[in-house]
Amino acid sequence: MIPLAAAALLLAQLHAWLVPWTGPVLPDPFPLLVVLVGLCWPRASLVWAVLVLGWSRALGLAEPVGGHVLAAGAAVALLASQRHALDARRAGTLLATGLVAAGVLILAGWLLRAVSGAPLTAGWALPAGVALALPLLVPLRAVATRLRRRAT
Amino acid sequence: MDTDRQARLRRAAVAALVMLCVLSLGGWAPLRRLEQAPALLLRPLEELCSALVPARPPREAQAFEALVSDARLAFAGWEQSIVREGPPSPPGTQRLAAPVLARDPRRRELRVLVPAGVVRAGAPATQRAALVGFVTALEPGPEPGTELAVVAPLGSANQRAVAGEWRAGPQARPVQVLVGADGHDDPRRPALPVVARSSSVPPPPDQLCWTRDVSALGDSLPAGLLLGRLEAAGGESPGGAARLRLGDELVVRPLLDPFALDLVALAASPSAARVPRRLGARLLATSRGPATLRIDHGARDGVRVGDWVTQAGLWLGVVTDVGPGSAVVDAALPSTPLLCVTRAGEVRTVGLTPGSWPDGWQPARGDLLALGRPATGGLAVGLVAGADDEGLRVERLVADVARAVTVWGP
Repeated sequence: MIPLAAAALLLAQLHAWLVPWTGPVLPDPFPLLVVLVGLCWPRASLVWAVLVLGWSRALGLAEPVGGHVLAAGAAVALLASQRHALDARRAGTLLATGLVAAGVLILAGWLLRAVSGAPLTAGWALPAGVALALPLLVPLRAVATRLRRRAT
Repeated sequence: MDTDRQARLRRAAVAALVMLCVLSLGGWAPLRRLEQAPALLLRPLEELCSALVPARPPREAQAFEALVSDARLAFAGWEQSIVREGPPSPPGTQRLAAPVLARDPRRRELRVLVPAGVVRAGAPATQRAALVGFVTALEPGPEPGTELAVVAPLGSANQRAVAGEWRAGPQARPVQVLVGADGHDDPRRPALPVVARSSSVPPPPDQLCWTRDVSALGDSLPAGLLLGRLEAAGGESPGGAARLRLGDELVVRPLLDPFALDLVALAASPSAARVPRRLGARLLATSRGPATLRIDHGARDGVRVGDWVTQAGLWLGVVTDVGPGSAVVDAALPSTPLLCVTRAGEVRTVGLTPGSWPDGWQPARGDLLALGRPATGGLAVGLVAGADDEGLRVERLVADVARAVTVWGP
């Protein structure tokens, strides 16, 4: 859980730090974390993993935690329901499920913003970040393998 | 059984988490404070990255300082006009420019911050030469040595009647009226009924109505304050003109929306200038969103929800969530009107929607937008990027993360 929190927090902080220089479409690899949690994380602690993901991201974006946890939870729940049919170690699976996760995060973010009025960042940076699955394929595969071993 | 129990516990945990998330989205303060507790974890990377943030280039810094200076001057002029324009205040009092901290259209109340003991109940609240309402109560203020004056705008239920008059021309006889309050109409645009008048002569179109001197009756309300425009009570409905000719159903429509004001003048006893609470802090370069910022000071250091955050004359936002050691700042534009400083040096108040712009005028690209409080002075907000039928687009001035910020109490 600690490495997950550290990874989510570091990614959010780096993204927040670099966006003023690069613009808001700087790729954000958060959907890849969501994919790893949704497809490979042990079911017993999935709820806590979602909480950690959402909370870390909210800290990095200085936004309310509730919205990010709900959005991450929706994406993780969708992926977890299909994990028996998907292998996160494959590049194609990572890309496809990453785009699905990004789409769910964007849609959930839009809905929650419209209903609550609270700030919740979820934009084009998320699907752009899915493209980072290709250069990061080796470490992502290693993490997915390790998580699946722990889950079983 | 064991797996059933685990499944039930998991479902209960999910339900509890969803409920807490909903409370967080709804802005429940204790939960929002708790959310900021792990902000300490941001420090390691923040210390590394903030050292690599470049300072603003000198040419950009000079242009920025020019904009800040214009904002300061514009607000100073605006504040003086609020206090000085209009008739003199009652004997023994002076006009005090006070910020509006809270607006409640449903209860028809404004809460205005004043030094303790200088304003009394019944004092008039004005802006420039227009009467806004009256102080109905005084409550303890959020800061030591302050009070919140509860101002009931014109049109509030149970409000005192106001003696007014109008005259059709400089040589015409004044028509004296007594203006009441309904309390059931639109709080932003009330229709004040004329309960009595000295003549049934109908007013000309667009006739304005002013307060009149009734000091002989013990009322110290200054004469010459604008009450509003006289209209037929039926407005533009058929037969309105006939009703006016018959002398019926006259109302006074105030020209100001009291719930869009950020600064009012209250009749107050002379007092020493109040020193507002302020403290220095830094922006975190690695924790911010498109409309949010984070500062490295929190409740432990005296930061409170509602505090303004500024940087060298630039308005950054309002503190919305406070943790033990950090606070989140909402950088979205406020809903109250802004001061628009044109390239010709004109200063007008504008909102974000075209309905709030003066008739026949709209902000031009490149105009400076500013706001302020007596405590902070004028603050630059941004530049007009465009203005059309859909509203105002603002290009915000960007904070310099390498520099410190100031957190201001009200």
